Amino acid sequence: MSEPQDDIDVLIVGAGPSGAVTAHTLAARGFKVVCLEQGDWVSPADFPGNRPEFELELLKTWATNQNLRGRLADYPLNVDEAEVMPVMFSAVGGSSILFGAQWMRLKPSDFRVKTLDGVADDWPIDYWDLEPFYNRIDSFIGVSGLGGDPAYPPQDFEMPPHPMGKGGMLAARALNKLGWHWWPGTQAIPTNNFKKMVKCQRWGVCETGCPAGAKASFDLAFWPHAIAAGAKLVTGARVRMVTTDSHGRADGAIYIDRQGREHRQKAKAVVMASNGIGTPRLLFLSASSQFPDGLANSSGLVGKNLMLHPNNESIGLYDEELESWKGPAGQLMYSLEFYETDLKRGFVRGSKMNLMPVPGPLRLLQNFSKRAFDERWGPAAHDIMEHGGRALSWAANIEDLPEEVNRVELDPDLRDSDGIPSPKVTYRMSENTRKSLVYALDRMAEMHQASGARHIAKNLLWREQPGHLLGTARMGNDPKTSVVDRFGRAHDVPNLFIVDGSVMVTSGAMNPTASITAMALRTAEHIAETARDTQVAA
Amino acid sequence: MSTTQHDLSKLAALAHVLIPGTDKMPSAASIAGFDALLARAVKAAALTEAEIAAMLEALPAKIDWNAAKALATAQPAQFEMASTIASGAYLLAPEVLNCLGFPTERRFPAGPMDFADEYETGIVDEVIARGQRWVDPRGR
Repeated sequence: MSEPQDDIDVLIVGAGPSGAVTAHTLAARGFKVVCLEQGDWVSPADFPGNRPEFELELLKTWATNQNLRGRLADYPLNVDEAEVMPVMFSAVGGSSILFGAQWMRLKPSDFRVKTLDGVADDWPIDYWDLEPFYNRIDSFIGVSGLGGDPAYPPQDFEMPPHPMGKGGMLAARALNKLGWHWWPGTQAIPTNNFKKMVKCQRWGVCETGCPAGAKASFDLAFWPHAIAAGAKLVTGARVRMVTTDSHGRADGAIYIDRQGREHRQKAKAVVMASNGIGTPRLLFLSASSQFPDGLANSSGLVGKNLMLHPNNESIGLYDEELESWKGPAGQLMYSLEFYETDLKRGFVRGSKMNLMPVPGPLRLLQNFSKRAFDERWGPAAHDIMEHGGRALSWAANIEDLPEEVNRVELDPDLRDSDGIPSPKVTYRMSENTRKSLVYALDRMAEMHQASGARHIAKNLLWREQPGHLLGTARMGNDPKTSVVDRFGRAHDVPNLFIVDGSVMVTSGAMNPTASITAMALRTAEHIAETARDTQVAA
Repeated sequence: MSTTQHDLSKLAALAHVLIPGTDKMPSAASIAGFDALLARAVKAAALTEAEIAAMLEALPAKIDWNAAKALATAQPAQFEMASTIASGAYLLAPEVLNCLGFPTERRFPAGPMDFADEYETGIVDEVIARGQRWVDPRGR
């Protein structure tokens, strides 16, 4: 191992959205900050979406499934017992490289599901605790949207919304006819040039990386500002454990560089920003005689209560030209008609639905793969392909409730490229989740019917979506039933903080990055405000 | 792994069966330079040597509609990969995209009034008229 590196104030593990926000916030306040990231910078020029064969590149090189991609920066996952494939991407900007930038806040009810519905637990914070942090993140990254959605408390946005286009207008008219809620999409995608980002060029390939640099992935939206503020970002640095001193306080981390050399980075405080799978993995890897069950795990809840937001999708093919290759994708619009609990449906909680364009014609053929051979090939293939540009996708995020059986553990055999144990993910959908999944799919098919779709494909479970990794180090007031407190501080280790999706008590049904980054900002400011001369308060 | 002419011919034969022509669309067999598009598709799919070998091994030496259908039933994973390569190559042909009306230029920045024009149709008014749609846990 190399000589220990200079002592710093705060070490951040992971350069995704929450790590970026934490780094910027603390560096701007004078803290000496280092962030260790196992991946690298990715150039927009590397993304496949502006190449004609981009849909074929998604099969492997740019697959959402990291086990297929085979990049050294990613670590393999054992998903033999997981119904849903966790999606993540190791790079500066983290999984926001591949996110759709659908920028949705949780709703007030999401923080009180025990009180309202008698299930799971209430959060130790509420919507109004987070609201000012939502607003500030929105302003910083240039969120576009239309204020006044009656499904939310009042909110407004930095930039005007993107046009919904022909497809969005068609769906809006249909949902008005049905009397169902919808609203123009809110996106972390600028409608005008903003800071390091150009205005959206509507390539429609947001979820495979924006080739125009027009999406607020956090390599663009936050890291340049964090570095300008003085944060140091080390790429190709894979942390293998967080270390502790004799008093049980975190005092740094050991990481491995691309040449396989070990380094020790000392720090006065450590912030975990490694996502809802990477963070529990590292806490388990950091077990010691002081923390035999893993760091910060006296509750036994590290790795448990994994929530993944199962997704489903219904694609409709239409007779009229919808220009459905136009982005952002992203969401043209969303519907929260079935978000809140209605017990008449036979389950609690609900789903968020979003309408997306379908940017490539090959995907249409793939989405109709369940059809009989004669209905998919020969003349039938043309019937499907001819709907390129006339296809729309409704997809739903399903709220899954926390269950301890859904969990992340260390796999006894599987290792990453540095020989570090990889995670094993166990995830089974509950009966409640299954009912919500079926219900949402039927409603989305009805949306297509009301819009006049000629063909409708239904995919009950979109296994390799959406990459929302939540709940595995939940926040709470009681150290017996939670891992971190209401500010993300580990109950067991007073100078260890968690800022990623692990801390979420319930999942809601919203795309979570807006909430994760708002909580990261809140935690980072709490660290700064309670520190004295950059010594993090215990 | 580079594919041989023999390999490409097998994939092309499958494409010819799966994608005939219509009065509006060209057949796979009529696309000039289709073998080169197939090679490009195989490369973009980044298959391993073993995956390519298994896919090609599964393809019958002589393939017609019934043989393709039998392959889809007997070896669905191999058929899915081969048919994706075949159709993916077909969709790389500019003349196919032109016939589909699918653009090859993909930058469509919105005009400054595009959303305003949609909004001014009153499309959002009905949603607003239905009133508050969120639950206030404070009971307000």
